[in-house]
Amino acid sequence: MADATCMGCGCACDDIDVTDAGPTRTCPLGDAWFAARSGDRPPVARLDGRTVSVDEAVDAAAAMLSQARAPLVYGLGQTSCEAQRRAVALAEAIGAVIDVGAAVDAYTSIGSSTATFGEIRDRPGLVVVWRADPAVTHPRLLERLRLDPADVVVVDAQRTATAEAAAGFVELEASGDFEALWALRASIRGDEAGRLDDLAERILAARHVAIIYGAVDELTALALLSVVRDLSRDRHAVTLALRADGNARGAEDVLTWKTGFASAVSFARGFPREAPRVAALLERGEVDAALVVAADPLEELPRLRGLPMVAVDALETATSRAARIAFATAADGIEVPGTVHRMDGVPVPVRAPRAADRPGVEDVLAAIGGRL
Amino acid sequence: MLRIAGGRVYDPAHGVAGEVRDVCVQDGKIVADVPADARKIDARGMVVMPGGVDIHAHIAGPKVNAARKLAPEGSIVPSTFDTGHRYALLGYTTVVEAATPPLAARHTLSEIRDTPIIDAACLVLMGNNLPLFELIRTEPARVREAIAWWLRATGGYGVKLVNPGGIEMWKRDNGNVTSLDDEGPGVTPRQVLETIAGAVHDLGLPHPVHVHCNNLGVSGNWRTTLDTLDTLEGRRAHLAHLQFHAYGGRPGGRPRSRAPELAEHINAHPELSADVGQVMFGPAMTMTADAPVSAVLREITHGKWVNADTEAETGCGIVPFTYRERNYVHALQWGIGLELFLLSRDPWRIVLSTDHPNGGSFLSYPRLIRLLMDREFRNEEIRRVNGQAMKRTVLLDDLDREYTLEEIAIITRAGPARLLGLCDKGHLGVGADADITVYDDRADREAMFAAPRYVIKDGRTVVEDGELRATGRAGNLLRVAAEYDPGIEPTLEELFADRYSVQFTSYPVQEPWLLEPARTVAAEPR
Repeated sequence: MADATCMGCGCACDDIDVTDAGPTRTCPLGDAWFAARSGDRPPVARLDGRTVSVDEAVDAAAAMLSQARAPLVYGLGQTSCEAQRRAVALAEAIGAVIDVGAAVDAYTSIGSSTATFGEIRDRPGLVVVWRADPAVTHPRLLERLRLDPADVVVVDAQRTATAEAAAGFVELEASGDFEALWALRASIRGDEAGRLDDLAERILAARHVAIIYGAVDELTALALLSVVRDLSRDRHAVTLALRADGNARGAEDVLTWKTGFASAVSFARGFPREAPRVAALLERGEVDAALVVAADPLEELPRLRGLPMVAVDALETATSRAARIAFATAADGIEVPGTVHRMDGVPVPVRAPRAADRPGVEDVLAAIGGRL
Repeated sequence: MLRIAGGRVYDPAHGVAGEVRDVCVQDGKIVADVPADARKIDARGMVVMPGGVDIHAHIAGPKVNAARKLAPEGSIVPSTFDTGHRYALLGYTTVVEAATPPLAARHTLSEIRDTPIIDAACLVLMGNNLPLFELIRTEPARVREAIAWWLRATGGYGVKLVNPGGIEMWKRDNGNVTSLDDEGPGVTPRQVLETIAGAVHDLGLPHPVHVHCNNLGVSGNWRTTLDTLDTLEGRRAHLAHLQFHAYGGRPGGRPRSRAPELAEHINAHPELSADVGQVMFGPAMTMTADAPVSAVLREITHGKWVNADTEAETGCGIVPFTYRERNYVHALQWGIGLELFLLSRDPWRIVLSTDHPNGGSFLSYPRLIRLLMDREFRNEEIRRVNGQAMKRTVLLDDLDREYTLEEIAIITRAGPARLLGLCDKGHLGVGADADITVYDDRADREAMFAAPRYVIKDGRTVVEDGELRATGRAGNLLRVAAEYDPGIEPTLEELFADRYSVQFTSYPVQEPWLLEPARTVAAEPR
């Protein structure tokens, strides 16, 4: 039996034991995460469909990336901060654009009020779950926050699993967020009555308010953060942004401290500059090679197909199958120790309950960097 | 091997003040002599000092990184890469990150590993820690063991108290404490100060308790500051950014300067030291564990605001801010800082800081040095800023004090190194770390200190002719080694269970890649 931290979602549950029979205390997502990284594994390195040595693949990857004039580094959400640091260094070395898929425009515009899990758990009050379904996407979150169903209100287009477990549900069509939130701000200020008056009333009656939200668009995020800011004048109000990937928050944090920018950075001129997002670059044909790390973006970024591509991931994915060069690495959190940033920002160690028989993501990135 | 030949050397720890002599380096250390064929830097006409030591700045960790997200242009809160390089280009080789939330130690340490050149130490936030509060209430004698445990668990160097008790009240109900006897948090700020300062003293940590007093920024807070000092009575203590705690007047009213009274108090108490937290006009980024202060600033700027609560331990507030010459309060803050520098009689106990980036960027240190060294320049500036504010200070009396190069060497390296208990830093004696800065001796002290000619770190030339020559690797993490009774661990594990959302076994940082390379300074228990 060995300690482990699950990277199956942004919760970084660090109370997992791995036994011969499998992991304990995991949720369904965690079970799937461990299972996908156990049993038969793909060959460690593949080049043009052939199984090759790690050395040969590393040489080919280094050659491809150093010959590219406009390389892209993308992904990073499912590997450790240690590997992420290495990926940023590699992006710098090859003059790449690096995009970790973070959404921080609303945060940059006005800031936010946030709290770690323990603060939300230990300061009971009202919890508003805004267009998110943590019962499905982060199955242990509600238990870890010890939420009393009576204190939870879900706002969404339909009754979700989270809504079924909550005392309060407000139905709101998918496109109505910004107007509804602006009206909520007005109700909270007492300016005018709006459709969320009941919610406003409950919020105003609470001494502590936490808003948990999912992958909302930047305008909705801006409105949510504005509401929390208004609320903060008379009560303690915080937000928690859910992250699907096990270390998406870490990717955003690492890129920020190493470059000053949180989402997309270009090293084309040797120093970091803010870059257009990956979708726009691909759309404009401004990428001529890609290194995809610990992510499977092929479906959302179909233009990656056809580009010279290197994939580095513990799993075989659609992206790695489409890549000219693919490394199937040892698994972070199972065979490779490191650090992840839980979605509330808390750094949590991930362990290696199993010995690795192959290089990890960080090793592969370091090897490529060493052959440039 | 290296010989820095013929420079005017300022090594205040050894009473050397401008004598022409050689400084020799071998294997990263200062040595008495090197062979004639050693590499030579011709430093004739130049000024040679130990590398700078910043005793209080915010350079790494979650709150610094949150500020980077708020201000991606990077000029006020640089990336780790730029932070290391810009400090080196300024002749600073050691920097103390002054406020690490212990739960986030891994994050802070990762950033330090990515900060090139400079050595770094972390002060660990302990003034609003709920397990410690419980121990203070029930078993104060064991607080000492708990503090030693926390320092080891976080790779920390020293103990930081920020607004003891006040941040817990903020997280509880947007509240705060206003006096040292406020009972709201379950222990009074006075109990926290007394118990933790006593524990730090008994542990014999190299740096005394580092205190950010209650009531930061509030008119009339100088009385809280004095009360804090009286509570610490006779024990060593370092006061952070004293300027922000030196205001007279009534709460809610216009501040006045009480710098002369506080300078006098510190002059009379050799066990006390302070860094100034000078305000410099222009853009700044306020970032503090003292989150209730940030909520007040938000209502002044109506601009960006970040609040971030850390369970069981601390908070965080960030507000971008601009200090303006014509604004009464800002000009008064600027004036109070200068008063503290000019009225303090013992340069070994007053340290140059802007509380970077709270009072301004560390990049403004050269200008601050000129304000201290050049009376004419200072008086010109005093005439430019808000006159009402200047009338509330003693600066209009044309204080004639001009800091000498020796005194600058004390308040920027020799003094802070000694206050930190870093025996190998801040001086040029045989055996010291070969961290050395060589300046052209220019009449314009701002230009002189803004662009050192050479900077040597651990014997390696990192700046040559004012330009970076070496990049890449980080310096040492400076840690403290303090022994504790392992019997404290089961007690802490119990106190952790209901207060943290990570496992007790996840908490202590043990990963060598986060902790090394390190230099460890041993505590000397009393």
